[in-house]
Amino acid sequence: MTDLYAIRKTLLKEQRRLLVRKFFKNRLAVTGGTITFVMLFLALLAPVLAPQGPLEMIVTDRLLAPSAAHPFGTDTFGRDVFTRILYGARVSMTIGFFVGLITMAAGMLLGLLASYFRLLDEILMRICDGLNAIPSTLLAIAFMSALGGSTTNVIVSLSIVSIPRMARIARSAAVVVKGQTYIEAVSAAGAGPFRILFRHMAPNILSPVIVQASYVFANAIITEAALSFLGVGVPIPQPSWGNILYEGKDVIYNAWWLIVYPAAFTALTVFGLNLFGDGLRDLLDPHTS
Amino acid sequence: MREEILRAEHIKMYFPIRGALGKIRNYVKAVDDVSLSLYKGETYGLVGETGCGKSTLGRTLIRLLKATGGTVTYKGKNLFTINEKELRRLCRELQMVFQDPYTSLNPRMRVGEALTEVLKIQGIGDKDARMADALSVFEKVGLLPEHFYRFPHEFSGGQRQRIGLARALILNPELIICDEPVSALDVSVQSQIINLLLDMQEERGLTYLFISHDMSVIRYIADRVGVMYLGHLVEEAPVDDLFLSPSHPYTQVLLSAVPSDDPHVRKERVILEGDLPSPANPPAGCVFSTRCPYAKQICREKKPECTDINETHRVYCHLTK
Amino acid sequence: MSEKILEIENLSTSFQTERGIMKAVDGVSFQVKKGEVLGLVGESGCGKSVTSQSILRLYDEKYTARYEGKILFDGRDLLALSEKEMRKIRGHEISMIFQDALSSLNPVFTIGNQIMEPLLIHQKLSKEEAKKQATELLRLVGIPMPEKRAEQYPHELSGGMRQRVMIAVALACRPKLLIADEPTTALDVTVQAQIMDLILSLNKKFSMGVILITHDLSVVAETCSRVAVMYLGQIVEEGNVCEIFDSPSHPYTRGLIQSIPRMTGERARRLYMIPGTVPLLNQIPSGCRFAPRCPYALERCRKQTQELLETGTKGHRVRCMRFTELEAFHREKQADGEECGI
Repeated sequence: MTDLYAIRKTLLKEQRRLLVRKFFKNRLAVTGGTITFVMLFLALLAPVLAPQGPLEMIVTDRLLAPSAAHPFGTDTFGRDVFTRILYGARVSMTIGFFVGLITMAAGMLLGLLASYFRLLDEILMRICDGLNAIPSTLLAIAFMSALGGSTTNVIVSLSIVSIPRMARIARSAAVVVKGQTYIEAVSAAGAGPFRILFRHMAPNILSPVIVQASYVFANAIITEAALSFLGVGVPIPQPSWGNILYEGKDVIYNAWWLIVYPAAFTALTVFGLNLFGDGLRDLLDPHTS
Repeated sequence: MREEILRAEHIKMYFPIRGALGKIRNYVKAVDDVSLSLYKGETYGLVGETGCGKSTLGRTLIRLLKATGGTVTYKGKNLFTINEKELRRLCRELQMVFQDPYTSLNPRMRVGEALTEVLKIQGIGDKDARMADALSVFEKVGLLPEHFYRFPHEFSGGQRQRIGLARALILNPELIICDEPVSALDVSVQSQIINLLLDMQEERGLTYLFISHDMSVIRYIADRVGVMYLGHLVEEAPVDDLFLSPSHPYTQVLLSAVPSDDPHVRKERVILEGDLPSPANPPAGCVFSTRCPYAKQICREKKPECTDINETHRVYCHLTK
Repeated sequence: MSEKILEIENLSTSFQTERGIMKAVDGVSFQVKKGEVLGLVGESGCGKSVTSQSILRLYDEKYTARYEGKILFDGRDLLALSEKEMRKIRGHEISMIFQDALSSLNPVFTIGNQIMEPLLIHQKLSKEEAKKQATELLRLVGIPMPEKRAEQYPHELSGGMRQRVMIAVALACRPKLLIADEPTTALDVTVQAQIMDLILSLNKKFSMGVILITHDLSVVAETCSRVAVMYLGQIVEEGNVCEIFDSPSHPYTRGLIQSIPRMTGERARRLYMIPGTVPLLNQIPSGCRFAPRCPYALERCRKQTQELLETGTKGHRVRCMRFTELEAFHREKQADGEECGI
């Protein structure tokens, strides 16, 4: 028996090595992953990297153009824009990450159940149709005005908005997997529905779900910016990329840096995440080696 | 007579065709009133062309599909009425090997785990015992221990079919339904798998229901053969009887269509006219009457009864006499 | 009768892949005469399909594929032609039918339209004329009520009917060479018998050359006049069908023939097995490519590469350095009354 464990160990090592090599060969995944990683890194290290506090106002330094002291300039209250963008990254990344995670978990659960139980399928899919009928940003605005502005509420409402699409993707993948012979084979071995669903079907629908989750992550960042820009997102004065834009729009002709930098960061992050998602799609296919 | 382990009577499997709003418009009669018995230690070959219902029949026999009608008695128990718990236990004795070795293994599961998983589902042994069991079956079907933790895509078709067989064998079954286990394989690999099936049967006294469309494979592996056409069993006989003196016109056509493996002999064939009728709307009377070269008036009107040519050879045809 | 339509000389096809260059076809030579059916057999991965697709140059030459050698069709070297000239040959002078008739027919066009297409492109017929010919072709391939069928879409036909339509499309321009790539593999035996009979009768009627690619040796035994057996991108044996089946000279051919369960005669207790599996193209063994699986392999088999040898019988070639010894060996065994199927 011991030699079997040894085989397992060397094999796992080799497979991990292959996976790493495959990842680094995939240009999309590497570029997207690097951008995403850098953003996460900036967000995490914001307190260390930032030259001043995110709410710290230096009234004398109002609306300064980018310089060595303030690389991205300052805003109407004399706050350092670079600092606020770093702290804003924290908000954006947190929101994106949790929305992605919640959507993935809930969407997968609903999709799996719907693929297996016919009645539940009808009910769940009609609810999804209903939610899909309303434009998601509009729906998010409605939720936000009902719940009130806070980071948690942004996460909650963006999750609700993106779950239906995820559930549909998970369901259609699950329906395909359910028709595969290996599922028939485990049921021939006497497996019950929950074992079939969560042990045998779930891993096989994971790749489209993870890819979609990366898009949800990206989309959440954009929608958060939009919500905050409209004043129903993360409450002021907490810095978020949307908030910085919101505050910058009044002085857009005098201080371009208030618009360009947060917009550029949002765009770059979303671009990185989308690339990463596309790269993952190739990586997660078990058949290519 | 040998010990009968499974008896199927009047099996019907109708799949509903749904129209708008889920209303049932019609049924596809995939299997219609088929009865057969399996005896311990034998290989029963089930032949027929695409869409004749042979695979569906195989699946209903072990309740992988819920039959529309009929009974299956396995060792005195009615398989269609026993409860879930008992059925789960009986899964150990009734196993299946599937046709397509590429879709029958979970691509995200290491093949060794796929085997231990089966034991886990049945609640057999602890982790180490399961592993030891799996490894011994693994070696039995001709795979190496270093293959144990690999993923299915790292194997060739023949090796995957060995894994599929190992998965069926690990529960120590009595009966294995083999659904076209060699049709997707190359000739040289096909013979390896057939020999392995025979070795396993010899060693464990297994009973096989061997489903295939390949007459030469059936002739080689089966003891008794049942021929199906459009959901119906049309003829059943011991293998040599069937190949030497086929009685049903369809069996004759089927045999004459098989290409001869001797280039000196160019066979005279009975070429079948027309297409297979739709199983949703089968012909009245004998199902083969629309294409049968000998069909008479009675064939188009009345379903043929079972005629016993001798004790072991039966045929469903009006013209057998 | 003995007019050559196709002469392949030393054809090699290699592909640029992530794992390096893979030579799927390596130095293949054969000929097809007018009115002849040549069987190209072998297991998956032996290069039989690649060979046939190379004849029509269906692979992407810009990026992945590379051809070497000569493919002489009617005296012209196909590999020297431009893409534009090649297009005139495809579907016109050389046609191909595939295993999967459903995916080879376009689901959004009617059967009639698809048969008319080559007629409109290559023969520049008028629409009415093409329509008339299309109906005629459908009748030729044995489709009942051709006028009605011409109006139908592929999904409305059965598998056998679709394969007949494919043949009609292929025959539309009366090609000199028909390449049939596993035309009956997806079909049932009774339908297979119909289609093979159809191909044979058309072959006689138009005296075109046919290359039949298949893994099914019984189909070959029944329909072909000559056979080429391929293994790992090379032809290992070529000859008259009766010679190949009666006294196969290459151990691989012998193994293949013995592996098929017989329809007549005694059944052996176990089927003959060729040990091992076909290696991948990037793991081609040195020396004789079949040596690692060959029960008769000697040290020199593993070391020396082997060219095709004439056996003495006309047109029979084999790639085995021990074939004379083995021939004697098998003859002796047969004389001893031992069936070689054990």
